[in-house]
Amino acid sequence: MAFLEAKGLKKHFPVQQSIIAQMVSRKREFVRAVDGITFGVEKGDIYGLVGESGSGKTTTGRMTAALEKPTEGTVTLGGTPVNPRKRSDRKRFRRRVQYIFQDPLSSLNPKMDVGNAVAEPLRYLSGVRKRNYSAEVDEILERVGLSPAATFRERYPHELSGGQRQRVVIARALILKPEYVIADEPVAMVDVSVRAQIMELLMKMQSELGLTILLITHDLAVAKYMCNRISVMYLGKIVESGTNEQIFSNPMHPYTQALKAAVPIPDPRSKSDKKLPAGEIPSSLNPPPGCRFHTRCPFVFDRCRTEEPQLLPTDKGNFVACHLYTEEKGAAPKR
Amino acid sequence: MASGIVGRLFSPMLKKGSGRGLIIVGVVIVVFVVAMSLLAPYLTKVNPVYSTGQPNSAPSSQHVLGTDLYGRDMFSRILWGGRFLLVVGLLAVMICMAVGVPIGLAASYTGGVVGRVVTLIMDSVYAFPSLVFSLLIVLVFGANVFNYALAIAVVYIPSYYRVVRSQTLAIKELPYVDAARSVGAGYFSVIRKYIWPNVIPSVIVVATINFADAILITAGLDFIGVGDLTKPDWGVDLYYGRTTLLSGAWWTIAFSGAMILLTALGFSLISEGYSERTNPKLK
Amino acid sequence: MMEAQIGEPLLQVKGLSVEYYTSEGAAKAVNDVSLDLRKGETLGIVGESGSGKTTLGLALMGILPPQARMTGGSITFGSTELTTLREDKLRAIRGRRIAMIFQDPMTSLNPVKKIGDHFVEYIRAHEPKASREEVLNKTMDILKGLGISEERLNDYPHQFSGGMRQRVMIGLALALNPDLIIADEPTTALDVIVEAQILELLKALKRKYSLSLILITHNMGIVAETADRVAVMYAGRIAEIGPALEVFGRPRHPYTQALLQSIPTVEGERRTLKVIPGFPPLLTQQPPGCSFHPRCPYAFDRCRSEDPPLLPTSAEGKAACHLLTRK
Repeated sequence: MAFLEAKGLKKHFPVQQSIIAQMVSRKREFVRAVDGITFGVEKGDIYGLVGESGSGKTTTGRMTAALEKPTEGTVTLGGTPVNPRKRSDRKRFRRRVQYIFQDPLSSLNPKMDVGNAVAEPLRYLSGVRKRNYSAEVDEILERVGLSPAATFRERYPHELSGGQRQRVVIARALILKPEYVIADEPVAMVDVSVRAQIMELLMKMQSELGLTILLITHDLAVAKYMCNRISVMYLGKIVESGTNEQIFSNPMHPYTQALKAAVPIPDPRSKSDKKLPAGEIPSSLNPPPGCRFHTRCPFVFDRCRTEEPQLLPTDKGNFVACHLYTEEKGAAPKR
Repeated sequence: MASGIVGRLFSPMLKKGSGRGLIIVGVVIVVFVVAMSLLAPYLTKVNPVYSTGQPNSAPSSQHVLGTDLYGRDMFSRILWGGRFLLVVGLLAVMICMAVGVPIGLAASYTGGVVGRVVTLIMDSVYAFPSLVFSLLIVLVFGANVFNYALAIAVVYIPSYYRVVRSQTLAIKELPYVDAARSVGAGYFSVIRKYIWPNVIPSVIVVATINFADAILITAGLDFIGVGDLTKPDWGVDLYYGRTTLLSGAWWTIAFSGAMILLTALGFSLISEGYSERTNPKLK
Repeated sequence: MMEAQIGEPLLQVKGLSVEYYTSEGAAKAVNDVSLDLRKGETLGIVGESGSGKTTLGLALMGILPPQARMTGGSITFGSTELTTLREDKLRAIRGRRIAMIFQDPMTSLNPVKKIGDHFVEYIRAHEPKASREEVLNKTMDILKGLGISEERLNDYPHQFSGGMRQRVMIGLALALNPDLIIADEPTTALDVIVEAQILELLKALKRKYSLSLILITHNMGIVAETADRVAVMYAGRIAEIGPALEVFGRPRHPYTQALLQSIPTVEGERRTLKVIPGFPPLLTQQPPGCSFHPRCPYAFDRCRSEDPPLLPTSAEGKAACHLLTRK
């Protein structure tokens, strides 16, 4: 069994209705953010959840961090369920799992200085009650590159640059030396020239602390750089899953292929002729029947419109949810 | 916690940002008025309650601001006349903050049915006309400082509640509150360290306007003759001054009226300054 | 006003400077920027936060916010000098000859007005004599080319998806047949696939309507794929400018070099990225001399005190770096 296991995860958000609508209509409408996800992350891996908006990747990440309760399905970390009943178990869980939020500016309390913000996890979860945690705080601040730690401790978030703020967020997440970290778009809100710093920092911390990281991103290039294994999500389901090598050298699902083709490459010579799918991502309120991608897929045929494809293993060890690969008539079509 | 609030009040005040000018001017005015009222016994030895000169005499070297219809020294009355108003204002603000803020924080952070019920109650109280209600309380229960303060406070608590609620609702959805919970912060820690510090500026906006309003209401009630008319008070001066004005004795109301306005203005400027801070006007 | 011929200079910016007045003092957002755009060309202006690229775009359109002021330089469009033009004459050019597309269509569209009405009002503002029917016909022509069906004219902005809204914005920009479109981060808020669709659309429209395009973005990939010429901005100045093939193939400014080596890509080998230390300077805290020197691996004495001028690196390219004067 993998270190982090998600089985049949679903999260449906009820749509807010007015009191009258609630009384009159019998049906409740749901946003099916995550609609049946199963995957596993090995210890020490950097696992990428890649998708566009509405894919459900952030909600999935939050469920694995017990920030969101699944409508259905289970998440276990090292065998134990991620949402334990007992309060002491929950506390123990929070020590093992930390979440790095997307926007460093709004994930730091503007009225709390860096020293206090980074010490917060120690205050609540370390079991050690002290007045002053500056030793531990300084150590982690130095480790994430905020040196000299003593000056950074007194600063407030608005006095720092975007990259520095992100380092503070990382420091706060790592001060308890967790086992599992969810990094939600860790570089999306950081300046381009600073992104490499932050990515390198995360990878360095991962190897120093033996972390298992779930990286949530819409940026395929970031996933390619950082992740060992990747799952591609579309409208609440995983459409393809495999190693970094497999996904990028030989993407099998039409959506993965489209996603990869769409990413602009900083090389003017590679002006490829892009065959992009038409239309946009449908709403998760009413996902298309059958295969969710069928409305935009260039290879769509009858079966796709009615039957939802299962995520099945291939002979190379990766997984893909597409009828193209289970059709009796033959081999997988070329792009 | 009190010293924390005072400390946080004065240092961020001078912080660069929009509204700074307004806040500083307002604070200067308020400090001036408060100092004047506190130091009244040292600034004048003249008794403001007894007659010490000719009635309705114009400003002179003996009575710098003239005398009122009973021959009482106006200068002395100006120095002493703010005390009652300031004490009422202070008490009213203290009561409101002690009641309105915790209820606002707890009800809004908890949310759900509790939040909605409390808001409903607060909205009903909000509908009360403050001047009329204060008048009623004072007439029925007596015109002492505490009743004035209580009457004003009761009607103002919903304003505090609303402001705290709107800020809390906005803040509790922000990622840093989520982050706090994910590092193990409990209910009270979140409110105390993450929500309250970010709500304070808005509370200051309401509290200072509350103060200004309290002064105007109290002076207003004195002006219409309610309450103890023997105390030295700017509002009382206006009550008596009404009759003497016709005979041309402008000094009997001009200075008192100006002081009421100035004090209310001082607090209003602070309120406006903090309001500008939290919601800078788009130019 | 003379029409510029294909290949002739359409827009010439010389020594443009813009200052912002903040509570912490005056900050130079754009510092002595010069560039040209030829007719039919796509110029990509790339930079990160604090580079001044957005302010530059606003200055070109003459819609700087009240706390910003142009403190020097000229902007010549065709044969007209824009900086000295009266507001009413400027308004005739804005929209008609130069149109702008912004990042977030939601804030540029009126939520209580139907899409069709947006077009009618916009076109009528510049052509008051046009009849409603003429306007709607023209609108439908444009929208067809954008992939928006006719019946959507009666919908409101919130009924459109992000990508569709951006198409509407492009449609509005095209409505009066401008010569130049300035697009400021037009795809930043969109998903990857929609972004690619919109970029393909812009390229196609450019060919169809013989447009010139200025594309402002922080994304090097977009610039490489759409621009003929590229200007790299850093801390309010142009660090490097030249044909896209040159700037990407043989970058001469250390910032451009470092940037290209630090961004991850989807193609090719999984390589190690070069980390650039430090962070882009705040507008109000610019270092003396060359603003990139604190982060530059080749910085020497002159860089710390003297601001490097833009010097030619090739027939068509320029870079602002003291290294060019060495040797």
